[in-house]
Amino acid sequence: MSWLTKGITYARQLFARSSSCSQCISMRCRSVGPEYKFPAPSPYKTPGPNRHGYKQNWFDGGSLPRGIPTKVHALKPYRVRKTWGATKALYGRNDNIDILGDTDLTPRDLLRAPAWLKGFNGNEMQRLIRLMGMEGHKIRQLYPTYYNQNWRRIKYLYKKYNQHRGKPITNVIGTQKVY
Amino acid sequence: MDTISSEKLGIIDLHPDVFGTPPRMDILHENVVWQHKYRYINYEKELSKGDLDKRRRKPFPQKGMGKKRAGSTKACNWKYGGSAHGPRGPYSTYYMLSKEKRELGLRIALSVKYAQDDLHIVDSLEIPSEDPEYLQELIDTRYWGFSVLFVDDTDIMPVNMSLAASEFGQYNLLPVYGLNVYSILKHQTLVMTLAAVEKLEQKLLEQMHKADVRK
Repeated sequence: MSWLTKGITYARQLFARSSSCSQCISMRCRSVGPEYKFPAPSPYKTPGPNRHGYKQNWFDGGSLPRGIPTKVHALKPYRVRKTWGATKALYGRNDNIDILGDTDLTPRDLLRAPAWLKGFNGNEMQRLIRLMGMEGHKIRQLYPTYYNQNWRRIKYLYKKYNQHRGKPITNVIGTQKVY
Repeated sequence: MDTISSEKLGIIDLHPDVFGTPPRMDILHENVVWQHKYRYINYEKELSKGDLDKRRRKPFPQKGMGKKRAGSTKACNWKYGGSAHGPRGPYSTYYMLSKEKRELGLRIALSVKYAQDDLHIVDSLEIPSEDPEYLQELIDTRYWGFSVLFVDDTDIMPVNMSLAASEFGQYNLLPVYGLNVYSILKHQTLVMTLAAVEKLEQKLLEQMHKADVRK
């Protein structure tokens, strides 16, 4: 009759599990509720007990040490912005020199930038081609891996921009696609 | 500017097209944004799969490992792998505003300064003493504000003025060709010499009425 007793105990456990009450004390379904530091005020409820077993850490490291000369990791110290410093006070000077000046200068001539980007705006492939055209001989000697990588990147970008593009033509009289 | 307090030396006519244009905030905004953007270079770069200095080999066989299939450790989904769509190298945001918009922006900025009583015209920028306190007292008595932009027609300024203004960051000297919308708006008051006003008017009106296709 052991199978009967086993069946009865199993049924009891199933019943206890399905009822999901916190008073079930069977070994199989021990319920653990999370311990909240600040219990929610009524009428808000906290989630019921379950088997997750979450345990909140009450110790969060403790207070900071005092009297120690080491650096404490904190926010960066505030730095006053020099709005009237040397560079910022006259920012934008000579931007209208082609209108107000007496010479043939334009603001494009006064830009400070890498040589291949002075007064040039383009996509990545255009920029790389310009860079290799202007500084390629130098890069080939000093940075041969970078030189090789750049040409490979240009090839990849050319295919990406120019190939497998455009809408396929449909709804044309006859089934042949005419480009 | 020989004395600390101002003296009325005369009355001049200002051209209405230069100092009396109706205000347009969008033109001023366009000018200021252009001044920032056209000279800005972004130096950010993220390495792509092809830039990485790593092995190209397949890290483990296709099947039997229990791991997700992989062809290289340089893929974007791998830790320390490349980035597909990150910023690629130094790039510039260069573009040029048309001369029409730029000179219209200057005219609007000058009219705004005049309308708000922040424009003062002076015979010359010569002061008797190079003491910075003299300049400070002069500006305080005349109620010229916290920051002043002195504009002369040439780029060679008087000695005393240069020495006194070099002590202050907010009192700046500019020739006429250096004028721009950002500086006019940044400084509270604008102090111009007679010669500068005449030259500025001449240049701006010339540009306004120019019959050039490529302005």
